[in-house]
Amino acid sequence: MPFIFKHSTDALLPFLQETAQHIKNNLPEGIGEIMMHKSKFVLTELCTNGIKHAGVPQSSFEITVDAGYLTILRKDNGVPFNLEPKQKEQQLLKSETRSDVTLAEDDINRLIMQRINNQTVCFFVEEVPALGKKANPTLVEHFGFIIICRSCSSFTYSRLPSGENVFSVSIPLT
Amino acid sequence: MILETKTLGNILAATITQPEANLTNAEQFKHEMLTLINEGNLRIALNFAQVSYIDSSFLGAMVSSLKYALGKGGEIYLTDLKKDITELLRLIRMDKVFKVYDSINNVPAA
Repeated sequence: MPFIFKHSTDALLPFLQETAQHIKNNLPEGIGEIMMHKSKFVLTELCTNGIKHAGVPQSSFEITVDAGYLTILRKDNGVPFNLEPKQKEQQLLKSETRSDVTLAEDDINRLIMQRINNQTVCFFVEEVPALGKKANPTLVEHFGFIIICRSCSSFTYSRLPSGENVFSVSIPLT
Repeated sequence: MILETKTLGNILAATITQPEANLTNAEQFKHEMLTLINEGNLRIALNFAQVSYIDSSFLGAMVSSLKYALGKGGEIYLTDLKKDITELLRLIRMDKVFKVYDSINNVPAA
C-alpha cells in the first residue's frame, strides 16, 4: 500500500514517523540503527525534493524490503527532472562514449548523473580527494541528491511515457 | 528567532531552538547567522541539542554561513549533535569542513 505525502513542510515529520515505523516493522532482525538513519535521510530528501520541485500537491511512496535491500520509490505526475542540463548537454551530445554529466562539484564531493537510457538516469557521488587542509574550501550549498547518493547503493530517476516521475532508491540491508 | 545566544568567553554559544531544522527555517537561520557574524561574532558554537533532524536546505544554510564566517576569518563549531545528525555529516563529508565537538566545553580556547 503506498504512502501518500502531501507536499507541505507540516506533513513532513508525521510522514517520517509513519514511514519509519513501517520500515522498522519490516526490517529483518539484527538490522541496525544506521540503516534506520539512512532510510530517514533518503525519505527526508525525497520529500523535500517533492515540496520544492514537483509542482503538484502530493507524491506517493512505496517502501519495500526484499532481496537484501530496502527500496523506496517516490512517484508523482509533476514537473520532470531536467535530464539534459544546459551546458553539459553539449558535451554529452558531442561525445560518443561519455554518458556522465557532473551536476555539482566542490572540494569534497562530485555529484554525477549517468544516462541509462532515454528515460532513465542514475546518480552517484564521487569523493574529491583534494580537500586537504584548505582554509576556504569551495563548497556547494545543495545537498539533497548528495545525501541520497551517499545513503544508498542505487539512486535512479525515470520519466515514464505516461508522464510519471519515478525516483527509486535502494539501500542495502546491513 | 531561531537562535538563542549567550557569550561564553570569546565564543558565542548559539542554540538552535527548533526541533526541525529544515527548509521552513533555513533562510531565517542563515539571516540570523550572518547578522551575528556581521556583529563581530567570529567564533560561534552552534548547539544542536534541541534539533531532531536537519535536511539539505538547512545544511545549505549552515554551509553558506560557514563560508561567510571563514571569509571573515571566523569559525563555526557544531556541538551536541544527535547520533543521526553526526552520521549525516559524516556521510556527506561535512565532518571534514565543520569542527564538531561533543559540547561547547570541548571547543578549544582561541
